[in-house]
Amino acid sequence: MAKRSQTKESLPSAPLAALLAWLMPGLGHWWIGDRPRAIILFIVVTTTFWAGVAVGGVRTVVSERENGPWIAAELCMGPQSLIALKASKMLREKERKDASLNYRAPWPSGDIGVIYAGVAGLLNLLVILDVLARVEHLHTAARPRAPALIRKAARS
Amino acid sequence: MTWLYDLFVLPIEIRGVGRLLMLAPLILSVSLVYKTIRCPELKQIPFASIKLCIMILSGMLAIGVSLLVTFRLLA
Repeated sequence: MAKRSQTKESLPSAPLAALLAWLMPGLGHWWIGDRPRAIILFIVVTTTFWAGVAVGGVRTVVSERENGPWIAAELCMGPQSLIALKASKMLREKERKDASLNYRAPWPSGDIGVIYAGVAGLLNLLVILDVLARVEHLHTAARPRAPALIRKAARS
Repeated sequence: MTWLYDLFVLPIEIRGVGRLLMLAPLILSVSLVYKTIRCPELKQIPFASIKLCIMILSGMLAIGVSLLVTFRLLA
């Protein structure tokens, strides 16, 4: 965690930290100074997402029409999921033009891939919430506190 | 770029026990992320993640076995 001696001006902003965490898993943690944790989170979340895409194929795994609410979870992965969604749309377009092409995954590979990618998105949501909590903690720690005697007097 | 096409466009066929084995890496990922967030010290993460992973796997195994036994008894 970043040093407690930061002034109010140098404290990280919570919305920016959350946005960075959405753009790339772990980037929010990196920005607030928690770099080893950021690297672990980036590797684990990104690997889980792309492992799902590799198992089920991008055409089946990231499809807004066929996977229902899972796409909402997958979109928590940020630009990576948008790139995968674009690739999926391109493949579906190719399938429409050429009936002999079929990129659909057989059961259960498709379902397994969707679950992997969806869980990766939900894990990134957890990472975003964690970075928000850490920024809040930094703000609370930096807030000036009254001396102990004054606090004691205020309580009584 | 052919390897990218093979890796991310063509799906992998998974059969039999492979379906169940695919559960383990996913649970490991969930455990790693959860413990990375929760553990105050980084050196605690590997052991805590493996412990949580084993706990989840054994819990799911217990639920699976109990459901199987229940269905066999009711059948």
